[in-house]
Amino acid sequence: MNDNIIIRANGIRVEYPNVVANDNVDFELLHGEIHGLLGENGAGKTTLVNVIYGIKRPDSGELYIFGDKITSFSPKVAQRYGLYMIPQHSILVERHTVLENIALALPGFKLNKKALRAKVMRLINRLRLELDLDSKVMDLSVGEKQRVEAIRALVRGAKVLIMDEPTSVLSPMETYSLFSFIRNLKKEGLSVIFITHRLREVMELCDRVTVLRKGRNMGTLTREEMTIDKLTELMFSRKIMIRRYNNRSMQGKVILSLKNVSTFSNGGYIGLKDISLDIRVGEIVGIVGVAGNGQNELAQVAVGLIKPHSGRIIIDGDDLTGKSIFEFYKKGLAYIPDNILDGLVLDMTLTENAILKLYRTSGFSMNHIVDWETAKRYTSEIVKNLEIKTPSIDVKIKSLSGGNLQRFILSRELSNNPKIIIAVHPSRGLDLESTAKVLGYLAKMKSHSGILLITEDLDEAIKICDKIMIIYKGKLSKPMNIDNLDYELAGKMMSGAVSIEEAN
Amino acid sequence: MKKQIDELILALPSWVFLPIAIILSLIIFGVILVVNDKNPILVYHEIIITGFGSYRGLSETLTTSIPLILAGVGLSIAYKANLWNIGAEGQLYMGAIGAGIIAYEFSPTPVSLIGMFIFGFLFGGVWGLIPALLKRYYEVNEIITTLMMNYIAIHIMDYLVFGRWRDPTTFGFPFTPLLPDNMIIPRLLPGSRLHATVIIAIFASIAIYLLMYKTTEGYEIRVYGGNPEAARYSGINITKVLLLSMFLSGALAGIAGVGEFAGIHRRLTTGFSKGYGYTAILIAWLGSLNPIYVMVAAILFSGFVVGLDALQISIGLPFASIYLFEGILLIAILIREYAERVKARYV
Ligand SMILES: Nc1ncnc2c1ncn2[C@@H]1O[C@H](COP(=O)(O)OP(=O)(O)O)[C@@H](O)[C@H]1O
Ligand SMILES: [Mg+2]
Repeated sequence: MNDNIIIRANGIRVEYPNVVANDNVDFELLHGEIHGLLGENGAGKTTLVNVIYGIKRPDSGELYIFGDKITSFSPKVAQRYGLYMIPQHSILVERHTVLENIALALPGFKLNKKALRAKVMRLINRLRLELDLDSKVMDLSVGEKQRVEAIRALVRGAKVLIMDEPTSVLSPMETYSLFSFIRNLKKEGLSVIFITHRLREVMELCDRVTVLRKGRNMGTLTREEMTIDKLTELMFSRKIMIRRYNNRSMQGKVILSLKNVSTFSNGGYIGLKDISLDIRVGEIVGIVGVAGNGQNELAQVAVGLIKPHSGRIIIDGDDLTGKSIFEFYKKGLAYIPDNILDGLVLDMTLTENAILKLYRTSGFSMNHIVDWETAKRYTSEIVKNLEIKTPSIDVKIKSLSGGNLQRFILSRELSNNPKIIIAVHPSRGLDLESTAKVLGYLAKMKSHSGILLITEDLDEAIKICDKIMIIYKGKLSKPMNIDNLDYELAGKMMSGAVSIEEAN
Repeated sequence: MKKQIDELILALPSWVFLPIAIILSLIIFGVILVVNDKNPILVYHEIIITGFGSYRGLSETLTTSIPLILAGVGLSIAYKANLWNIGAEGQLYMGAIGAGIIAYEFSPTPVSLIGMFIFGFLFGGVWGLIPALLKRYYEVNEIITTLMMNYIAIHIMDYLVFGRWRDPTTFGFPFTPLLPDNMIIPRLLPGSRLHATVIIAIFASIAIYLLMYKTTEGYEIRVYGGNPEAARYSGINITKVLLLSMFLSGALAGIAGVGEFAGIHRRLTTGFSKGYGYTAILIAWLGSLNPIYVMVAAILFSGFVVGLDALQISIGLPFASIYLFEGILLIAILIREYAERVKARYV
């Protein structure tokens, strides 16, 4: 056995109720390398490192750490071998100082603070960090907190650091500092597993990269073998056969348009930057992009939940900019949110959930009195339409499975002849058969509505959309007709390899 | 151990949790009785006979339950909206102070009593409204504000009974003058303190039940309490939900204050409420936040308290027994909450 191999995983398989998260994955980590783990959202990256770190026991497959076969999966075991995972969101004690937080990570009650300080200072100097050990953690930036977490691990004797999408919470400047920090770690002899969905970061930082797609290992490349084209090809499934839902319908008038919409970027929101789009009755427009590039903000602006700071939103000829979401609904808008739980009250019955938007419309209430009989009849219809499995419409909706919840929302949103449908990941978490059903249903709806489909899955968009637009860091590409789509270009725009401006 | 308990919880239907919680507290309290050389069976038998089985006892039970029903039903509105109002005590005080303004600042009229109820309703309501406004516009946590405002209300009461409203004839005792006859809430039964506020309490329970389950406003409150994101998604006016639920919550406690003032004590004093506002928190949860059940819970609990109260004298139970029982009941209710959470996790 090669002494250089620190971690070896053979044929790892992890199954969740609706999805195979890791499908026969092999993986090797060598001593002193920065190993990238690249893949779209949901590709199975987190699952794989959870197995390696002992958080998740695989359904089958073998794991060797420093040549030892792992039989008991737990982070304690992993840590004994010197593996440490850096959490994306810091779990440090905010009110304590950096040094106190590091001390907290160490076993035993008797701590020689002076010796610890000296030890940490030496470490910090070697790693060329600028870090004041006496500043309170709450005064640090996100990037600095990540580095404190790393130092903590090092003090505890880390040999391998696992970082799950550390850059997704960082600004470009902080990403830059993180990369030089990781390179210095490598000089100290550490190995790093670095997870990302951004191609560029892999190209810049990693010695080797393993690409995951839909739970499968698509290949491991060395630095010399890496090219943007090659990685794009591995990351996005180009050669998969795609069946189109090919029911063309007559395109009608513009029903929804956003004109030069921008939003502020704060509080975790990506700002939208001068976005314009038109949706006509009879067409499905796809917004495709990797999660966290502003598609949620776009959906929320388009339904009136976020007010844009500039630009206009026109529905069916009326300017609704700045109006509340209820005004949007009154114009016949249906909305399937990113997180379906945002559109449900789990402790309420199916009936109570069914009327979430309709309760104040005529028929469902009069003079502030809810008509529960009508509500129940309506609910039974919803349940029938998409074959939702439930013992009754009077049980709390939390007793439904995830797939049934998804279908419930879909059925509810689509059952009132909407004129505009904004659907965010409508097939997320569904198995293949249900996905097909949902997409088929949407395709049918377009004969009398305009549909905006937001998805991370380029293939799904190709299956069902008439046009797609790529979203990257809050910017939207020109609409691209699906019939003569440049698949590679789309993939490159999604990963940022080609900028939106270049393409437009 | 935890695993076995969780498995047991899963095997049971949810509706048994409340009876089990109550029985559990009776058993624990029974053990304490045994330790104190009392026969729990006899004690419970006596409690039921005294609290529910006699004319005197039953009417006293109903009397005691009035503030608990009103404040408990009020709190159940706030809790349904997921607003942690623990300020019923202060809201109750403010209700009494509001009624006191009519009684002591204006000359009496035939409609003074009605005015006292209206003022009590408004003062209690506003005392609940302030934390709602602070939460809505300044994101101040309502647990803190409602709790702190209890002390403010109690001190305002002290200020009034020691100062402006003090009865000049009581030689320095912190009392306000007794109310004139036409400002006293009529009593309903001969030889009993049961006053007409009990009708308001029953009416309020039914009305709030209808509000919560039959009207769009109640639906909005429940949606917001169940998932604020869903409320946002639905386009529910969240300001309206916050203000309405906290106003009503406080207003009902305020009515409770008027009842205690003009129905029982007939004057204001320091330490005017016996912690009804806090006990009502327990009652609201005991009644699963359903106004009708809350009413039933308040009556049952009051019966127990009345029975226990009588026994304190006759068989020499320590005075703190009621608080002890209240504490045990609280733990039992927390256990039930735990059980429901375990259940929720697995379905
Ligand atoms: N605890 C879980 N239960 C059910 N499905 C899960 C769970 N964790 C992950 N999945 C599913 O497994 C797949 C892979 O997820 P994950 O490993 O988190 O991907 P990545 O980290 O690459 O984004 C996804 O389809 C996800 O929905
Ligand atoms: Mg992940």
